[in-house]
This record gives sequence, C-alpha cells and structure tokens, in this order.
Amino acid sequence: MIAAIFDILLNQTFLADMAGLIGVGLVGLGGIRLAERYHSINAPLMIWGAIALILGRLGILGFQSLSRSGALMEASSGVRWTALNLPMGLLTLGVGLIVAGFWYHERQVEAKFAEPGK
Amino acid sequence: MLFVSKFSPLASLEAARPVFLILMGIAMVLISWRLTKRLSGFPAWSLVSGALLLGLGYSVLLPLYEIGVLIGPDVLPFAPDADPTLMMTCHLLKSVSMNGGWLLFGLGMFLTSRAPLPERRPVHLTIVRS
Repeated sequence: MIAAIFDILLNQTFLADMAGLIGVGLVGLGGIRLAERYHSINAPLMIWGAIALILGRLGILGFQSLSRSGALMEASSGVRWTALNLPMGLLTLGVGLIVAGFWYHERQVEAKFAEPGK
Repeated sequence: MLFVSKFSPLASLEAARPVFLILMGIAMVLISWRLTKRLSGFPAWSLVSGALLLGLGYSVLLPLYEIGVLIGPDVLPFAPDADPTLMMTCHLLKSVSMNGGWLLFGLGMFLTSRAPLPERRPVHLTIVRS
C-alpha cells in the first residue's frame, strides 16, 4: 500500500501534475468570477498569470518527456535552451502576475468593504 | 583571498529567478493571511494552507534546488556523494507542496470568489453650504 502510494507520487506523476494544473485552472476561474463581482481591473492579472502558469507547466512536462525519451538529443543547443527556458520564464511570469493581481485586488476590495467585526 | 563556493549562485544577474520566487512565496503567504480577516470557514483554511505550502515550495525548496544543495532524481545517479533517501524525500516533499499547494490555493480562490459579499464600508460625505 505504502509502496503503491510512493510509486504513484514518484514515478507515475500524472495525478500530482493534474492536481497542480487543476488548481491553477481554479485560480483562473476564481479570477474571472472576482473580476465580474467586484468590477475589478486587477483580478484579470490573475487570469493572465494562470494562463501563463498552465502553458509553462505543460511546457516543462513536455520538455521532461522529450528529454527522457531522447528526442532532444539531436536538437541543436539553441532549441534545447528555448525548450527549457521559455516554460521557465512563463512559470516565473505567471507566479508574479498571480501575486500582483492577488495583492492589488485585495487592496481594492479592502478599500470598498468593511471587516465583518466592525 | 579568493572565495570559491561549491554551490551555484543564488542571487546575481544570472540567477535573479530564485530571489524573485522567494519574494513571491513570502508575498503569497502574507496576502492570504491578510485576507483571512474578512474570510472564515473552509475557503479561508484552504487558501491559507495552500499559500503556506506554496511558500514552502517557492521560498525554501526551489532555491535549494537552484543552488544545487538538493538534486532531482534525474541527475541523482551521477552524484555519488548525495544521500538518495534525503533527495527522494525532498523530491516527494517538493512535488506534494507545489501541486497540493496550487490545488488548495486554487480551491480556496474559487470558493472565495463565490462566498457571500461582505458589508459595504459606509461612505462618509461632508456637505459644505455657503
């Protein structure tokens, strides 16, 4: 049982990867709903960040799959650099955009709405 | 005296990404902690625990991978000095904290965006007659 769990978490990583991708997708859906509800111009930053994170994560998974199958062995060094660093840049950009949208939206909402205790 | 480190650079022009990720992890934890003043229940719990897991992953584990203290399982056979149990445990921890963190954070964000609206803050107007 424990060996099966470790095997799923370490070797067959499909479930864990899907959990991460579904979570990022839920962040995007929540950003859409927040932008509608609060007429916010900052929540769409979260949507762009979620799109960038999904694309970057899929790119990293594709890079790992290609490099393990040996398909990137014949590729030139420029192609390998791009295939690794374009998804990395998208991941960094996505995290930054999600945090920026989260922060600005929180400040905008806090200016409009009272705390429940007061 | 020349100081030669056996680790890769963590903060330099070539390696600005780990610093950015450390800041983003800390910011995520702080913002979601601030958000719990207005929220309660499962959405707040999910948001904060997801942000804590993401903070662990982005602020602690990913920089350790970047400077080469921890190494992934793909390069583990080529590093005979490394402790394989520790490396696989950290890989497991990274996988769980990043993927589970995004799942919990996204679930919290999704449920937060559907929670009932809080009260409007009263608007104070000053009317000046002259």
